[in-house]
Amino acid sequence: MNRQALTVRQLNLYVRSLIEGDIRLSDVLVTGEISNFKNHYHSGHLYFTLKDKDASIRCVMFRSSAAKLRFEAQDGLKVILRGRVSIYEKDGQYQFYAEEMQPSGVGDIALAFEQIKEKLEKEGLFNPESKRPIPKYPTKIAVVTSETGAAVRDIINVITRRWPIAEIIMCPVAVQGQEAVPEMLNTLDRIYSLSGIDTVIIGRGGGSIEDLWAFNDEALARKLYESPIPVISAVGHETDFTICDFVADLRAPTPSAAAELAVPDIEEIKAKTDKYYLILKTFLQGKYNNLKVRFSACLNSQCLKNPVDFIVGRPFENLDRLVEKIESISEKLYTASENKLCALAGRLEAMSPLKVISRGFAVVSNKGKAVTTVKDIKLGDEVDIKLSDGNFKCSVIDIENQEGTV
Amino acid sequence: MKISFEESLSSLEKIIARLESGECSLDESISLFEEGVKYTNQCRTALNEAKAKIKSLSEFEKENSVD
Repeated sequence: MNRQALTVRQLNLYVRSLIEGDIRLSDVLVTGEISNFKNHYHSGHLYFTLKDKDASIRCVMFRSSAAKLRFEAQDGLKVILRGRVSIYEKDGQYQFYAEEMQPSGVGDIALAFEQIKEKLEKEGLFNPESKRPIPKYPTKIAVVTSETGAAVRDIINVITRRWPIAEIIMCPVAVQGQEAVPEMLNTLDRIYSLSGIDTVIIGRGGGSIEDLWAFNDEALARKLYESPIPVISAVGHETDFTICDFVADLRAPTPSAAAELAVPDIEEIKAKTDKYYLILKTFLQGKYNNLKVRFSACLNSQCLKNPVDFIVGRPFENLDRLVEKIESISEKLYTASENKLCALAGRLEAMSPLKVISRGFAVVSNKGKAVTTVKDIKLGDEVDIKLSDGNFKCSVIDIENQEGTV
Repeated sequence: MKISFEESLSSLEKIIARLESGECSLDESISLFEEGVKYTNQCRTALNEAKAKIKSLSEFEKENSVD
């Protein structure tokens, strides 16, 4: 024990220098299963143990590396780590300093995608019940996509051709890279605070899975779920599915398809209104014709066409016969009346006073009144005598009734 | 207030359905016809005068805040 003792720290630092001096240990790939996983949220460092059937090693992944992870590390996950081996001099603990982590078997993106998808699905963000219908005849459509891509041109072309009634509100954003998610979140907030927008289309053209990655972002998915306006997502090509597609009210296979789904075809709608106009016109015409037919049916009915027959009925079906009958009746009546008239005229003639006078009778009147009885006159009255050819006056000198003198 | 295209078209559709139900009198048919023609014209005007407009979000925000 003559040799000088080392401090613990010196020892640890020495062993560390030996390990770090081995170039093979400075860049190691190691595979195993994660256990005892701890995420130090305030520091951002990840601590865990990597183990296999027979052995284990303590691992740390510092914040700078952990922030690049797309998926969430968790217990039981089989991973491949890339990093270096070293010793933490404070406790002499030998550990693995992971710089990269990959799920083994599936790609990290695929895993991350599945993890986010499962989480949001459990929370109900993909529920069909929360999907809203896309307005049929929109007047304002917000288009959230890159200003420069093919997607924006396709969308504008389709909307302006199919439904020029709609106003397109361009909302340029980065669709890939660091800025993509924050820009999209910010733009969506601006859109949500506006009124009058009917539909939001969010998307981009095709690209690699990495290029489309922003559309798998959890925060973006939640933002879309909160949207007060129906959302159509259109990310990449028909075969690309992103988390946004699951959250959106409607998923379109491509940006141009999104535009087609967002608006009707103006030619179809024109044809539709023309058809409606025709229905209106023909309906009224039909109504008129129908009433006309009914009206002429009335006019042609027996009661109006042949009222006499209708009213008199079957016993006198033949109007001529009826007329004959009426005529013969009236003729008889007439003849009878005429005979009666002749007789009356004869009697009238016979009763004419002139006729009587002409036979030698005279008419006696006293002061203009016909004298028919001796009671109408008294002695000394001057009476007028009328004969057929003239008059004369007489004085009454004697009155005698049939019983004798008065 | 200007009624939207959607409102005109759906009013027109309601009138057509009412007419086709065959329940309305001549008087009602005539007034429905007149109304229908009014909505048809509104739709046609909107369809024929439509001219695509493209605006930036910032422009739209300005307009929106003026309203």
